[in-house]
Amino acid sequence: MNTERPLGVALVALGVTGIAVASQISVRTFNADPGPKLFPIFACTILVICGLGMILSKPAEPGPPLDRAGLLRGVVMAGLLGYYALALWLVGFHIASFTAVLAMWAVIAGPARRVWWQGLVYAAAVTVGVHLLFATTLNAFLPRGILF
Amino acid sequence: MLNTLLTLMEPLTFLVILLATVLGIILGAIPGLSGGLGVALLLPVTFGMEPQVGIAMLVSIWIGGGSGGLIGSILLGIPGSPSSIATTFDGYPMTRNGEAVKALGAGIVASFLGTAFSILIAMFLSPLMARLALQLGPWEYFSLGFCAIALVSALARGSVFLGMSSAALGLLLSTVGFAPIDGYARFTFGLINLAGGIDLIALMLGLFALKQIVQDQARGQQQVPKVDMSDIRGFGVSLREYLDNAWNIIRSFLIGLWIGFLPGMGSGLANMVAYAQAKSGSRHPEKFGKGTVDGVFASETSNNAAVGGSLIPMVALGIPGDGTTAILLGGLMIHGIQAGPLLFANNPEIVWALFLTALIAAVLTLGLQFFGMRLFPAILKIPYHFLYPVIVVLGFIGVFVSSSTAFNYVLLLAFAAFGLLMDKVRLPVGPFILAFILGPMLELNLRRGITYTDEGVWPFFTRPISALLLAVALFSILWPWVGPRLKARRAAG
Repeated sequence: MNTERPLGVALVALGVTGIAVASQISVRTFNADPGPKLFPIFACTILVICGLGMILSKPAEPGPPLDRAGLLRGVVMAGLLGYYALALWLVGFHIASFTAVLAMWAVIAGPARRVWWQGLVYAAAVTVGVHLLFATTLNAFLPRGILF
Repeated sequence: MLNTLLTLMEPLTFLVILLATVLGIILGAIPGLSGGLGVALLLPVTFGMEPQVGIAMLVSIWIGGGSGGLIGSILLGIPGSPSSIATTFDGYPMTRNGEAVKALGAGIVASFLGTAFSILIAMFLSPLMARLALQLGPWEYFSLGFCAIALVSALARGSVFLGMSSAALGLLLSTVGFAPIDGYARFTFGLINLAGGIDLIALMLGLFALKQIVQDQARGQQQVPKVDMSDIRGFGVSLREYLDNAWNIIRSFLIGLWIGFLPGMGSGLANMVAYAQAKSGSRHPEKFGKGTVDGVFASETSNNAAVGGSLIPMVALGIPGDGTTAILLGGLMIHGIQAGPLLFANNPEIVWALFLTALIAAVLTLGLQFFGMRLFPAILKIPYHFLYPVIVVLGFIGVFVSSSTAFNYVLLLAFAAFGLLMDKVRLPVGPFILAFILGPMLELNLRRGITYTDEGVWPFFTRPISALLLAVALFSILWPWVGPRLKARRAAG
């Protein structure tokens, strides 16, 4: 599917909305100061011009589509990243990292390369290694979960 | 100067410089970390040290980190900091083509040349160049930033509309948070975490690291192609390639030095502009982005030349050139040293310690990376199921450590998704990041420029340097559209 014209429409819509929202900003500073709305309007104007340009110009050849299996693999990996973010927030660094690393290792390796004891050792090593780097060496705080 | 050099060469001080340089290289190479973060984290460690030793340690981490950033950019396609974004454009494709060692060699040599010569220039020309910088006003700063964005957008992959709209999205995103001058909170949607703006580290790691991981998994890619280590001599780059790139290196060096010494600019801008210039001035621009050593030379020479450049306003005027020099300036102040015009008179030993340490660290970095460059590609032998989970963990923890807020996880994921969308609709990422980084500086100078006189926006067009830069910007935007038509007309006529 060609993406340039739909993108052009989306950019024009975003630009017009941005100009409308930014125009509502009303702050008095110095007499000659255009205030904080000028720059967002400036950026949105460029968006509108470029969007119109894309709509009116000849679209480029569309790229090759991604196959269904590839799409599924990408969605699973994105889901794991989402899981890691959620787990860091809920249960903190150690549990989240161990489980997420193990899960990502298993998914990327696939059934042919999966040796479970290797994955378990690897997940533990990564968790301990990152803890040593950040908490021990750099004296930085690691995420603590809100649950415990 | 000699006394300071002898102090720095004392065994214990030299060991501190060596270890700090190694630490800087490691931090620079790890996605999510950077030499700048290392300087910030180790600043408190210098409290109990002699000022010269403390400054030497911080400068060594900074120099090592600046050069170490090329390792992640070339081998993994993940820049450690904005200064090495352009290195990924050709460095990573070279790795994918089996030329990782050559890319590393070119990057290491270019880094050394950029750092060493810019420091030498900074040592002797600081007062003179600082006076020159003071001649520029907000009109010139705005026009320079806009010109840089226009150049990078026009030369990006795809049409100029794609490049400019990507830049406009970056500019728009940079307006999130408190506005300059009046502190008005824009587009924060009531979220306190957005009040300070969008976190640059989260944006970069999302756009480069996480996006790359999801994309490679979707493609079913398990490992990058093998690196050809046979017949690698010296730095892996032939004399012919050095000679072919002589002008490219000199031009990139001058760009980096100039941009580095303009307060508020820094190496994040220098590498992009130098890359765009290298591409536009090349006899084979079509090779850029596919793995040409010219792109690596341009990016790495300029971002390291900005190191010496950014020391000039810091030392001579007390104005930091970028975020890391701001922390270094803080380090000086902690030790009771006031940077500025009187620094040369009051604390000459500190000035020499700064410059000489930077030179020593540059030489050490060159040596360490020369021996390391044959070992670094070992990272590519690691299968993705062992490599990528570590990168994910470092990315998430990196964005947490830099801000101590879990909100950055959301930003990280959002920018990974945005990066995938940008790839899908062919929006180039370079103009987006450059505009995002330069946005606050552009806005501040645009508003200052309008406020300083009663003439509104006219001084932007009537001051000679500003007008020239805007003309270059306009020309570069129009050229991709006008150029082919002129050529076609000439061919027809």
